[in-house]
Amino acid sequence: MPEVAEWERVLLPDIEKNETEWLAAYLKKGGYDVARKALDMEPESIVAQVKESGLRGRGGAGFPTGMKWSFLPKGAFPRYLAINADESEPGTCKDRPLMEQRPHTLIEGIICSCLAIESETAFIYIRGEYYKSAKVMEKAVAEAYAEGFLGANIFGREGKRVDIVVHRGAGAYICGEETALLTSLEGYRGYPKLKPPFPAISGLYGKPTIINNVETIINVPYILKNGAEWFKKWVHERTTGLRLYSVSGHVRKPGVYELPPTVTLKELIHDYCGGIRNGHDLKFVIPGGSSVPWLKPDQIDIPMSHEGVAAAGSMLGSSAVMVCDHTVCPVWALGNLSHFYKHESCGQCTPCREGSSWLYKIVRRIEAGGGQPGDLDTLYSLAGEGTPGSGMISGKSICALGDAAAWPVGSAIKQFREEFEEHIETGKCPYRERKTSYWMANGGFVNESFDGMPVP
Amino acid sequence: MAQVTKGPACGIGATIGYGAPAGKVGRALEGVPEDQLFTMTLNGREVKARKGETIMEVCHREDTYVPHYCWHPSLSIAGNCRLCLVEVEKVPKPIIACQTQVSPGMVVKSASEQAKTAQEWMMEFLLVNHPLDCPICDRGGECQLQRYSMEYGTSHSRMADKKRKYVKPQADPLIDIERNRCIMCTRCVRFCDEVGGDHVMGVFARGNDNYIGTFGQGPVSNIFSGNVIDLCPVGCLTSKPFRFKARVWELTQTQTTCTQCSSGCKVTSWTRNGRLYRTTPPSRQRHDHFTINEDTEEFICNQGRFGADFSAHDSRRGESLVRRADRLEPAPFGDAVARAGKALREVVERHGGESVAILLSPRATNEEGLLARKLARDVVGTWSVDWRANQQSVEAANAVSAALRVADGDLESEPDVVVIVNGDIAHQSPVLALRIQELGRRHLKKIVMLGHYHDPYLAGHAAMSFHNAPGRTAEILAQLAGVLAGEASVADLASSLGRTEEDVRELVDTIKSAQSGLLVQSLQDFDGRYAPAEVPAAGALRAALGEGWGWLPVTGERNAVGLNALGCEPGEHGIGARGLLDAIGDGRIKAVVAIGADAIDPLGNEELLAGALSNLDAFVLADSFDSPYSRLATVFLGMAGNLETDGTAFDIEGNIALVKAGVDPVGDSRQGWRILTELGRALGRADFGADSIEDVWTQVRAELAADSDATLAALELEGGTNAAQFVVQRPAGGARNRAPEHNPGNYRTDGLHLRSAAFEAPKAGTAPSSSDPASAADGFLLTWGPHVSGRGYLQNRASIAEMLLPKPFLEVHPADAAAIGVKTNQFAVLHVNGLRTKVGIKVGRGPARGTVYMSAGVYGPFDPSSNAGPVEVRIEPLDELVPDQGEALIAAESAPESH
Ligand SMILES: Cc1cc2nc3c(=O)[nH]c(=O)nc-3n(C[C@H](O)[C@H](O)[C@H](O)COP(=O)(O)O)c2cc1C
Ligand code: SF4
Ligand code: SF4
Ligand code: SF4
Ligand code: SF4
Ligand code: FES
Repeated sequence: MPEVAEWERVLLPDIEKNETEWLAAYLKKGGYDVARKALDMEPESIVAQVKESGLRGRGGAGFPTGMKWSFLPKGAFPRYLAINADESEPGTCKDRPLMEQRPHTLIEGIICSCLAIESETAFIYIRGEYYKSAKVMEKAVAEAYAEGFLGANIFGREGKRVDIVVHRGAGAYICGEETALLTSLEGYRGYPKLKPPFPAISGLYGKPTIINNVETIINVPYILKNGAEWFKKWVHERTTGLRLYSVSGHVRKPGVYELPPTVTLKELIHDYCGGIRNGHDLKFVIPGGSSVPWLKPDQIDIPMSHEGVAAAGSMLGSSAVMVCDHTVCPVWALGNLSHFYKHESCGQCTPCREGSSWLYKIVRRIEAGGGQPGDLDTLYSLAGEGTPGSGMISGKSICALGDAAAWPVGSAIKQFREEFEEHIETGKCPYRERKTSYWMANGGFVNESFDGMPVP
Repeated sequence: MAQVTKGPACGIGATIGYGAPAGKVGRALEGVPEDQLFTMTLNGREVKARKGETIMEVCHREDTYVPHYCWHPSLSIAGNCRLCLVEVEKVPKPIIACQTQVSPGMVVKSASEQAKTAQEWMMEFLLVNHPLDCPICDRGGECQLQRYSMEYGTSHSRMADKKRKYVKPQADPLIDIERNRCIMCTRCVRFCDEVGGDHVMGVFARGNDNYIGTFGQGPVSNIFSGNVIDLCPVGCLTSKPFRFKARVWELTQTQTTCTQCSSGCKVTSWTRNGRLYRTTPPSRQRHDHFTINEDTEEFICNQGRFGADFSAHDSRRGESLVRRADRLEPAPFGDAVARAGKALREVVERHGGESVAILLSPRATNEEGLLARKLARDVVGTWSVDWRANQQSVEAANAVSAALRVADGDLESEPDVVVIVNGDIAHQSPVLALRIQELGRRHLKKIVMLGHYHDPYLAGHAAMSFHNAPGRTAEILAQLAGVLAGEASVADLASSLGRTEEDVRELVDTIKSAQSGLLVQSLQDFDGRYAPAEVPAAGALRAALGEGWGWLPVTGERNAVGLNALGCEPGEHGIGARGLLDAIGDGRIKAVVAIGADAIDPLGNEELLAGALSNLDAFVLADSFDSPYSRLATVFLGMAGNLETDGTAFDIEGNIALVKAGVDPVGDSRQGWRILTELGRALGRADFGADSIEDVWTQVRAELAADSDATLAALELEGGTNAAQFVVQRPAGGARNRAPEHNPGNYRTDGLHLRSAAFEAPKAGTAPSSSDPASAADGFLLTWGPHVSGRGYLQNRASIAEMLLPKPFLEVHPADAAAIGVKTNQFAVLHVNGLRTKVGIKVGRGPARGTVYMSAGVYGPFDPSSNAGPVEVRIEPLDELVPDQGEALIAAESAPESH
């Protein structure tokens, strides 16, 4: 076992205390000093620093944040900032502790970002189920208003204004998609919008809008405080800065880990998370949130950067790592994911609405023993190779949820073709037969109906 | 950048709020500045395109069909069906044609392998859950899913699993919803949000379980709702009255125009065995057959669509009747008409021609109008011929005539600014209002509203609104004209309007800076009290507006323009419809010929009319129905119904169109023009009238457009497009008022004054001075407007008349509603001149403060004609809510049965 380096950690030490850092404590540490400093900076120089730091979005796509900010059309006001706190991707659980324990850091990040993009209003769109997060954010925002850090003339500075609106979603994963988030904020059904125009040109209420993930924004004050070079201390190719890895599944110590992008998936699983649970073998890993292609055990010696994971044929996404041991039936696991996507598809566009549920029906049928010859061909033609643009869904839908629904299918079949074929040929699931399934051990398939997936 | 408009408060957000408003699609590029044009390649052909256009729009212009379900030229872009995926060079994946804007040098391949494969895939997806129950589906034969399956799909399905199923809702009495067939294109939802204006349809649930429905599970309440049936590409939304009645390919299609209001919509009548099965927007040719165009922009209203079958009412009478002693006995048409001629001749001989009045239904064709006028002036020898029974007073009728005579505006020219003065236009001439709405919504023209009642349907699209109290409109218009002419001050106008100078300056600047404009004035102004003053005022304003502007006075009557232009009016010497009852009372009129009982029906209640008619020496009625009037006739001549008549009629904008019989006249009945011809001959003029409709048309044409040689056939909707549509100029100056002569030798041959002739404002008539508006403290002033479904005589005979009649509501200004403590959907007791009735309240910004509004015809006891003059109203709130119409209609809420 390699030595585990004690990385400098920025966000986690406070979070591990598992208590909310209210205003007084935050101020004692020098809280809001960066925001004060940012008041004296030119917006362009804030954007330049963020660009220089190489900060990339932590919501999934990994788009360079500074570059996104610079797409705003000159002279078009008002502009809005929307913080994407809809964290609903299965396996992703890093924004929640940030909001619940570091609310003021997030607010400071929002103030700095608003100053950078010259926006006077920011919205935090919080996942509906994150009740506590919303309560904490609301209280922290109220504290900041009371201190004059938010509202008109922030920090006593004439003419500078930042308002924050805390908004709770109503339980739809699709509202994490940036344009659906905007329609939902506007009070409409959470349908993604057609692009172009992109939100930076025409977003919320038709005005230029920047959407960033919570973790993205919370990094901004640190960059302004310590400089871009500091942020680039942790670097693998074009992935910079420490990031939060949400690890779940069959590891001994699941949780949120703050690590540099040079850490390998293998180290993450075996060294940080204590390895696979008792005596079990690793079967596959989903390295970047539920939509990305799966990796087999021989593919995990890779740096957990955008480039590192891409080289192995998958994606870093929101850096949510899901680990499955040998008790997991890959057909079942795919059925679980497909159920998620068919359930969360907004239903707006044909390929995703029809495709996601068709995929689910086929996978679920194979898993239940009703597989037919040709099913795998149908799945392949629907979902493609698990690469962007291949198959009947990916690249044809309005938003990326369609792609997300398709990608795992192609990759699961590619990785575990024999197991899929065994299901079809024998007309049953060998895992159930052997009663070795993790899920069986936890109560089996509770809901055997065709419509619902088992609830463990 | 795509034009961004703020969407309505409900509906489906993304697509509704932010679709670029589709401009007029596939527009010709003539007149577009060179710097906005560029070339691109479409399917290997170099074509010109304009900045900001989408690929779909270019394809439309270039006659390149790209399959599409969700895209519709009148609606915002949804981009959800993904059927229009096309290949664009240098773009790695197929992209949608309906939303992607073209750019210089773009190379589009709409039928390449890549595009075709993508389209085929989308078709397969759409069929995954589709029931394919074509044999019992009313859309069969005109279904876009069937059609595209053949043209863009594959013949097999790989779907082996259970299909999704929904429970069937019972939301609407007119529109059947079969959700299993829905492809979720949201055309219906967007139509209700954007065109219908009631935002009542929506998408419910999520993902593959989603379905369309109505909020509150109620009916689709807007008056244009029937159009969602044509917009729906599949058999999800079908017509309930037509359901299971016939297969569309068994029906005969007749291209005609609707006879129910002055919008004069082109429609197709679908008939079989002498029966009307349905009315739709005009069908168009596709390949070897005619079908409703899936992209039709020719929307029609529910009254025209569902209410056109009145000719088939139980009271329909095909044969003629003749009075013998005290009884009416059936008689062959020839005998009856001879008898009518004899009766009229006797009256003329005894009392002179002036004692005869000939009244026409306002939906009479030009041919009927011309012959009726000639019968009066040239055969009988009377001034007294009229079509204006719907106007509420002699003065109002004359004001209407004066306005129609000099009208010079239309919507076709797409004016930059539309100034609307008064009126519930959406309920008087629905599709006219719809088209004004399109000017605002799609073409981003400015709509300005003036007067004491603002059409709620249009108000949402208004850039500016200025209310004034009832009775002060004329004064406001005069002041505005003064300001435009530099003779009055903005400050004075502002103080009259109770608005800031800044607001009023914006109004004035908007009008002044417009290259072109249109003054739309509702003439069916409630009780007819205001028109006499407002018409000259609007005329003066029109004159002040000058070049580039037009004036479009609006009345709901079907052929008001034609009958006015043909001089079917009594002028100063004769007795008009509104003076008829008095003239019968004092013996000046001894005989009445009515062509259509709706020529006299609005003049009073049945009792009043029956009393008057029974004093006549002769009452000749040509009509299609048994009615209280037919029972009083000396001779009843069986007349063809609306679907059995040939001829021409004008819409309110002055366009002529063909009215074409779809079925033969019932029984022994005759078309109106033939009845008039025969009457003339029975009166001793063997050369009167004509022996074919074409000959009568030739006479009409000679009067209205002397230069034209268009035949009726040329007016026919050629190949589905009305290629030969031409605008006949209206004669100015009441040219048809030649003195009547009894049995003269020749007919009149006045010269024509074309519309392009110098504009001359109508002179003020003997307008009663308008009284001061009441303030809320003294009670309210009640105003009315006619309703297209509430005209009574004919509309009541439609098979589903009750369903078309709107819920009676009294509209109250929000400030007044707050003052008296009433809310929308609350019941109240309305006290009107000693009468009481219970009404539902609707709070809205239609009426000015101090005024309440209701649709005439909806409230029997408060018929405007029986309440001339200002009406004092008191409103007494009740503690009771109007029941939700939906509740009663809903059997079960629809939810997916399985997922
Ligand atoms: C279906 C779907 C769901 C998404 N959900 C989230 C989410 O829950 N949280 C998030 O931050 N980004 C989510 N995203 C990514 C956002 O669209 C967007 O890229 C991100 O918020 C941008 O912020 P960033 O640049 O800071 O990463 C989702 C994307 C898709 C297509
Ligand atoms: S891809 Fe799926 S989630 Fe995205 S718009 Fe289409 S149906 Fe909705
Ligand atoms: S909608 Fe079209 S394809 Fe579907 S059942 Fe009806 S006719 Fe057949
Ligand atoms: S009902 Fe028809 S028009 Fe409406 S969404 Fe469904 S398919 Fe489209
Ligand atoms: S608007 Fe008038 S003419 Fe057009 S369909 Fe309706 S009733 Fe007929
Ligand atoms: S027509 Fe373009 S997506 Fe539907």
